[in-house]
Amino acid sequence: MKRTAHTILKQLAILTCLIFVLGAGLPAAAQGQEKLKVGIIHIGSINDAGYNQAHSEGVRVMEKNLPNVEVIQVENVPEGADAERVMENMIKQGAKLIIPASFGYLDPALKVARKYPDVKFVHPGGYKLAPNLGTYWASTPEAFYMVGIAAGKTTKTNKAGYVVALPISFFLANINAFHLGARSVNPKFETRVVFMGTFLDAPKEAIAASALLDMGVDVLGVIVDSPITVVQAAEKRGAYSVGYHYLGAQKFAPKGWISGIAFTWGQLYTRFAKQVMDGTWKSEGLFGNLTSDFLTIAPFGPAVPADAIKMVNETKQEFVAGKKNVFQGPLKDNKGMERVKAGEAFPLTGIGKMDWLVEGIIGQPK
Amino acid sequence: MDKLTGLTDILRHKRTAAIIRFGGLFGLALAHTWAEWMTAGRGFFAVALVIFAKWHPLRAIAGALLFGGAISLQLQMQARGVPVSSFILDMLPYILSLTVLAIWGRARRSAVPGSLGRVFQGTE
Repeated sequence: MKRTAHTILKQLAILTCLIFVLGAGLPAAAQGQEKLKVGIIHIGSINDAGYNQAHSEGVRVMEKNLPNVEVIQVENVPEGADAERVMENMIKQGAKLIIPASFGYLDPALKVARKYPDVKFVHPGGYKLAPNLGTYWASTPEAFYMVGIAAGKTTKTNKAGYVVALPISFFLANINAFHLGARSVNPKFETRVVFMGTFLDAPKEAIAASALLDMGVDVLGVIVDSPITVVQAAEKRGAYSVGYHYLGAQKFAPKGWISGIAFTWGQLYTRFAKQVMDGTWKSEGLFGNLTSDFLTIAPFGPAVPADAIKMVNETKQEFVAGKKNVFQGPLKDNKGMERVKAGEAFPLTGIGKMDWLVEGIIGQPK
Repeated sequence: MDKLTGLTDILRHKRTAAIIRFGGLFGLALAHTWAEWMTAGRGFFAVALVIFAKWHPLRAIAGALLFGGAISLQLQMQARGVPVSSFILDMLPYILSLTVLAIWGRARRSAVPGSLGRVFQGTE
């Protein structure tokens, strides 16, 4: 008995050594073709139909556009020391471009970027830059306003509910924009907001969704990482839904889907990879808008009336031409205080300071 | 091999087999409620529940309803537009479970199962 076990162990050891030797030899042979390795880390699952899937779909498109690019992808990486470890590991595997695809990866990425100055980093939605770390995102209130128009035209109860991660300024601005868009076509429109305190918590999102539906809302929207729970809850109870982040969330609500605000990162990631390959990449803070190829209004669902779609497209033209402001005064907040005077507009560049919800929204902005 | 029985003997044991079967069926029955990161932040409640339940199944059910209800309550309050900050409301379940533990959770003699921690011999 014992001898057999030993022999097997010995054979296994030899086999392992062989695999290591061969494995080490293979990448060396492939290096001649000048491949670019791109590492991307995700905070959650790449099948969340939301934030993470949008980024993952982006690198998939980049891989398709550029055959010389190889992607290393890791999911469910906690923000902090773990993120640093995974990024360093990718760099040791030869990655020259790293996409730390979550807001909370900013500081870990800056640390790793300092350590490896020849590796480039692009971080979504950050507020800090380094010589080898750039940032990218898009201004979303105009898109939320447009989807709000569609919701305001589709609703039957004139009430919407939003399930939102946290009451931070950028999210408040998005909800305000959605509500103002809906009110522009439906003066009776009312929006209720429930804050989760976290970006991913399916049980809590399910409770919040049914609590909102119990209050008579027939449109549910989300600003959390994955829209699946809320969109499904709406569909199950015959309500409408509005997505965020990923184009493909529609499949969870074939009947009630209105539209969504989506990020299509594919062409941008392709540009980043090309720039790194031909040495033209430089660190910058990229902030897109409706004209960028990475901010998209998702396809409309069957419930949206045709005249609403027409209005959404006309509004887009007005925004792009600079003829219309999302936060056009006079605007009062939901406690009755005047926030924007008549004839003035709250600038989109200042939404980082927005700490109020507009009149008609039921929720606490702090 | 010493006194430790083989796996097949353990499975032949009625009580253990029943627990394994029940566990499997229970898991299957609730599989559709599974979601990514579904336990997030709930570990504290599980620990609090163990202390609260003191080995009594009815207390465990009551405690689970109480703590789960507290999580649900704060979201219901937000949906109804109660004018309190969501940060304060988010603390409610934790404050409630701490209070309940402080009042009822004191370590009196509890009904620890007699055979807990004893090596399973497979002879019952």
